Amino acid sequence: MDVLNVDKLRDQNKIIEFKLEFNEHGQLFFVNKEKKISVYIKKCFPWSNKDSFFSIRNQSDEEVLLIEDINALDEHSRDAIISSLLASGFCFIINDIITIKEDYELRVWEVETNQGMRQFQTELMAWPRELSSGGLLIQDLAGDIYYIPKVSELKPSGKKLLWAFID
Amino acid sequence: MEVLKSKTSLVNKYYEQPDRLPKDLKELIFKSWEKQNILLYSFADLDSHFQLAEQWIVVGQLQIVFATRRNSKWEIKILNISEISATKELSGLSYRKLLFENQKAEVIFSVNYTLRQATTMSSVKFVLEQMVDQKKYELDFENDDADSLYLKQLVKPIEKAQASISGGQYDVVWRLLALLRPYKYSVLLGMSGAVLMTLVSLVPAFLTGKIIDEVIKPFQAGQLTKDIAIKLTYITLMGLITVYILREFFAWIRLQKMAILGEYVARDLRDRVYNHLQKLSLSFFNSKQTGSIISRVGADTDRIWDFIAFGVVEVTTSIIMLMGLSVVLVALDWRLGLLVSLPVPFILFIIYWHGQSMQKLFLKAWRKWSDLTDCLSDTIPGIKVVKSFNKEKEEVQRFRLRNQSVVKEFNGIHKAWTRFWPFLMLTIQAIVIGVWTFGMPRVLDHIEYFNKTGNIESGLSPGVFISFVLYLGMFVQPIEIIGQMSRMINRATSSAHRVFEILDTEPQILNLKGALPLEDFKGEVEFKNVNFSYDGVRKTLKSVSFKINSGEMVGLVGPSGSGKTTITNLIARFYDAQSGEILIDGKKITSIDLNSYRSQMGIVLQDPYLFHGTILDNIKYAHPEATLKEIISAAKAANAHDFICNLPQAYDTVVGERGHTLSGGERQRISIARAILRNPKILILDEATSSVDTETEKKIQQALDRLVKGRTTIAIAHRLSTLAQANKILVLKNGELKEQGTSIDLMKLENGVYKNLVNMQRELHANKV
Repeated sequence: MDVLNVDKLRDQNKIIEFKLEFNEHGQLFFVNKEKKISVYIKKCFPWSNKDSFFSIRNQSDEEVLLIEDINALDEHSRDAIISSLLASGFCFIINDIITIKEDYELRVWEVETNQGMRQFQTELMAWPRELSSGGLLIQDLAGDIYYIPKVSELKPSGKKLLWAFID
Repeated sequence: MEVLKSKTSLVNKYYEQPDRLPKDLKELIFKSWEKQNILLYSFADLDSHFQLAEQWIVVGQLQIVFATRRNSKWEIKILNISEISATKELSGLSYRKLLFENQKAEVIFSVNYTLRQATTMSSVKFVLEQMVDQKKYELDFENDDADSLYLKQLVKPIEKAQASISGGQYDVVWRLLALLRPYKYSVLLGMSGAVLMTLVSLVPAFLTGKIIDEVIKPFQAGQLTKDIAIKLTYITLMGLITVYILREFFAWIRLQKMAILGEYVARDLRDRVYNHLQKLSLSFFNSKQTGSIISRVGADTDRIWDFIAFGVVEVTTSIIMLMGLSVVLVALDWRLGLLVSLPVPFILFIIYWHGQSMQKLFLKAWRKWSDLTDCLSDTIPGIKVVKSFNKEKEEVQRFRLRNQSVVKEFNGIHKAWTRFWPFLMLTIQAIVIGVWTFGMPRVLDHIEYFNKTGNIESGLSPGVFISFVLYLGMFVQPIEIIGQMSRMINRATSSAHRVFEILDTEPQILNLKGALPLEDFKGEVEFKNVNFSYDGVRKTLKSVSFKINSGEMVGLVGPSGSGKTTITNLIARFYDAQSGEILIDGKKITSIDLNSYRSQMGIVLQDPYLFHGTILDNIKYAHPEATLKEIISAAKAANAHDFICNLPQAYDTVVGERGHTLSGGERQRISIARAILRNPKILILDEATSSVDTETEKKIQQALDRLVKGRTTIAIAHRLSTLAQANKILVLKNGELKEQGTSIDLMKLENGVYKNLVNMQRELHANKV
């Protein structure tokens, strides 16, 4: 399948005859004159450059469209992308750290997230990943991601608990 | 039952979700279901707005129930499985969505969940797909009810990360101490030595006080003559000498007995662990990292030795020492005794508190250390890339920065403990000052009274006071050891957990009672409707049936993941099939004695493994009693003799890790020689020629042609041309046996899987040419 580069097409003043649709079940569709296919969106740089470069991929994991800037899209498609990004980018946002304890070969975190209180576990040597944005990513044993957007904005007690895990 | 109990406790301890389908929901479901059982279920923890919720998907034979708890009531939606035409999964960073579509490809239901539920949800999806696609379901977990399946899958990530054994920390400590049982007399002797050494250590300070009060002071006051004073001094000195000799004698008993004992316990543990490891099934080794298993046998048993040899004794003697000191001091002078003893719990607490705060510093330092070692493990294996991109300077700079960072953290640790210990010593010295402050006026009173009356009944005698000061110096070490006790026990029990996990793992492949050794073995293999699954959910083999006659060569062909290696694993009895029968010479494989069966088996793997040792040792591994002539014959048959003789030390060349580097083809030929020497009735060739060049392949193929003669051979081959001589080819796809027959027969099948594979390889070869 040919990959459409939206920005290139816009630069060449070509009419982009497609749109993206998002339904209530969280599905994203790529629609053009010939077909309507189920696709999903993947941020190329989910943490280092999260507002640009989105790969729209079909169910066979092939890229259908590469979008550098969603402003290049029509309003309808842009809304579809934003809705889809909200869903696909879901992870637990940590607002506060309550405790970090060690158990046998596990580190047990008790945190307050946008979804409420949650406990998760990491391996002892699985260190949180510091982002250049000042954020912190923690991946638990099951693969769930916990994100602290700004460590500096945590409560002092949370920052104190995190002291050993940040520079 | 015990296993499920421990899994339930893991869910309750670590996850904020029910450990099974709620009873009230189960009752509701059964009210609406007729003649249906709960096959399996999963928890789904995110609602459509990505908020945490309690939702369940319950699968029966005909229907699925979606239940959501709202305001402590269940909202239930029931779907007929016949309405579903497909299930799809959407995935995000930290969530999944399972969609159910009808015949018109419309979504009729969807549910969100976090990755914590991904394993149980993926089982639900897998079973539903089977039911939708094949209008039937085949569960490989028939032995598990829905509750235990849910538990087992849910706790998998925890169990994988954590050494899972039942019992808490104190159970582990008792179990650890139980290892001493075979050496109870040595323990008794060692502990007696330790206790006596501790008690005897209290005597010198007491004698020092006595010599002051009963020799020096009376002599000064003229109550004793010089001769008597000297005599008494010598007697006291003799006492001191005896005490010191006894002390060192008891110390020697303690150190020698406990250190040797610790070694014995560690040896027993290592033997037991290694012995048990050899019995464990491949599934255990597949679920653990090699490094982790090695460290359990090595580093963990070493840490347990340290705990048993020194930790247990040091903690015991420290407690005895502290108690002994307190009793002696209170007995000598209760006021000063209490002044010294009462702050001890406070000092212990500040040492514990300091230990806790140091843990944070150590944690940060370890993180930095791990950054540094990551840098090494990145660049050393990738040194070729570093050099080819001319990045040496950048790498040196990266290493330097991380190294500086490590030093900064460790210096922080040094600053913290060097600040703490003077503070602690000051606290202890404050007690000494307190003893001087409160003791000295009483000593002066005593001397004054004594000088006036010659009576010793008033105040505090100088001898007792000096004893006090000397005893104070003995407080520091036991306090320090007891302060570290919690950390020491934690470290030892963590190691014990890892070691006991191995010992508690039951081997899955066992000799059944009444299993008989093979007699007059022919090497006939038959599979009858064999089903197998590695994870208990996804079937790797689905109703596979075939027969291999004695002496036949059979090729296993199919795309990767089709089940070829699984068949060879089952023939070698590395695993047992969950259903169906595997017959060897017409007998059930499980009814044959495992050792006798495996002694008739030879395996040549794609990546042959050579042990550290000489080539001779490696070939002889298959048959240690083989003569040198037989070994050379095997090497010649394997086309290995010539290259071996070209090596400077020929058959005595050391290979394997840290040994002479052999090419893949050379190692393969040694492994073929090893197989030839074993002279097996059943031979398994697992992609034996796939990783070598054409010239080497030719040599290996010649060797294999000699090897397979007269043996039942099961060969997996990437290059189909190598199976030209096979009597039969079994073609597998997605765990099913799709085709079987000779190469010529299979090439006649229109759109046959084998024919397509052969054509694809021919095209590839033509393009290369």
